[in-house]
Amino acid sequence: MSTQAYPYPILGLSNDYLDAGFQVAFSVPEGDLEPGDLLNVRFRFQLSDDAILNLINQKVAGFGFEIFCPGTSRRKAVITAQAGTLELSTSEYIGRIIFSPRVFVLKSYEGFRSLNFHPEFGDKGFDIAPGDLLAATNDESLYLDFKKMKFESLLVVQRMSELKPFQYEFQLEGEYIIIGMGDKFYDFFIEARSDPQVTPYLIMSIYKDCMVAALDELTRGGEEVESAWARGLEDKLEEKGLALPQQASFDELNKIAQNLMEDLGIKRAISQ
Amino acid sequence: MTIKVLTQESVDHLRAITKAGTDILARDYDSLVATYSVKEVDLDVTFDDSISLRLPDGSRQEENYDAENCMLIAQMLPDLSEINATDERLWVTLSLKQYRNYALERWPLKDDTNIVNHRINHWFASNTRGLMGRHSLSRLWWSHQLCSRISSENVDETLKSLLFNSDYRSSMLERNTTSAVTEVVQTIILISEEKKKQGVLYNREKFRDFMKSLDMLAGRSTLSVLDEAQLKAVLEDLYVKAYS
Repeated sequence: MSTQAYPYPILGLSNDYLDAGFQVAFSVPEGDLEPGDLLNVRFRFQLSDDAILNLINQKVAGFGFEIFCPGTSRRKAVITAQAGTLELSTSEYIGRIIFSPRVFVLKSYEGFRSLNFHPEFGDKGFDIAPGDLLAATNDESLYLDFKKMKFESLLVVQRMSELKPFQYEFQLEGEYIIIGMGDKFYDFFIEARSDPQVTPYLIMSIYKDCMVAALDELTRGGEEVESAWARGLEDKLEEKGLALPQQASFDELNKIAQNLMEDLGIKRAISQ
Repeated sequence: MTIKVLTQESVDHLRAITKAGTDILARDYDSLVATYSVKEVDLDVTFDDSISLRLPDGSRQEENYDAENCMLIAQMLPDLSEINATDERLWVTLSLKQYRNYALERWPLKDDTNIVNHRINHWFASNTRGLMGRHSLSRLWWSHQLCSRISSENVDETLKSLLFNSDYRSSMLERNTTSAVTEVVQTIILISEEKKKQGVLYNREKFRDFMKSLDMLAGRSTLSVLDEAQLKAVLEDLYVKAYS
């Protein structure tokens, strides 16, 4: 959003405003939910621009959220008070729900200006229309998942006779990561993984490669990041206190993958 | 009756071998299960297996019976929730087993078809775009569902309005900017119908121009904030400009 150009200043994006801020405190209750339960999201907006506050008081603008759920293809805007609780039915959402905190324009208004505008705008006023944004801050997202699984259980090795006998490959498109192996490789793998002396070397090679591929997919942010393995991997990164850069080099991904695998790989090999 | 579906692990395995070049439709379902040791589980979804889908008579919109089949698939899965309808296992199983013939007839291989992409697109659905736009069966259910959000009492008519042309349908339902906002789809259908009565007939290029201008607008403005009258005024203006 910060890279998008708008034909009017927006508080909270780049430096359109000086000495003013827009933030939201946002919290969801802990605990598991079942489909049909109500999801209560508490929020409190903080806004420090008198011109925008004035429009809100006149009902020309309003605090609110745009809520988008890619999983069920629902996008809606909710106009709210400055603080309160959003009640959402979980029967309408699954997977990621993205909350975009905003001050929306509700009625047309001519010549809007603020004392906090960046000096480059001079004393220019802006004509604003319903749907325009006066303030925006970073999206908040949460994940509604009714069948969460650990990452390790989402890696599946399978014989894949379509591949050359000594090859293996990763398929990341589904809920599971499939590590497909040609016939000879698969036979070797099955035998090797039953030997505790050899297992760490499989972890340091095949599984570590797989981890690099999965991390790479996560950084690309495609549709696969909604899958079960991606959520499991995100949890694993969080558990380990590892951050994934948005645009990571191969070297960075490789090091993160090594870090994730070191307990079962190199550390176990050394301890044997 | 409830339904047995492939496990997700089995679905992912079948997808993987499809991507590696195996045509999973070269075998019938039982042979597929036996050959690849795929497994099934019970899914708690009511399924009326007495309902058949109407096989297409051709590839043109008026010959494929999509609108009719959207209604039938909703009857076949009468209490399917949106959450369960995002479950890929259900759709993959139905398209390989119970409605295999329908899927093959509706999405036949053509000479220039890349068979791997074709099978992945119409027999698997790992993401929202696949579920709503491409999978041979789930696209029917989701079209019905999106139309029932627009008008729960008049789904049949809304479907006919939406599915009279495949490009019109995909323009509307396969873009997050529009399809996800029920009121936007509703308003576009309303405007299209009004203009048709005034003699302004659907034109693919002009409609695409309209949708492009709508995407531009959605880039600067949050359409879901607009009330019915505001949305109608704004979209009608864009529509008239695109068709002028």
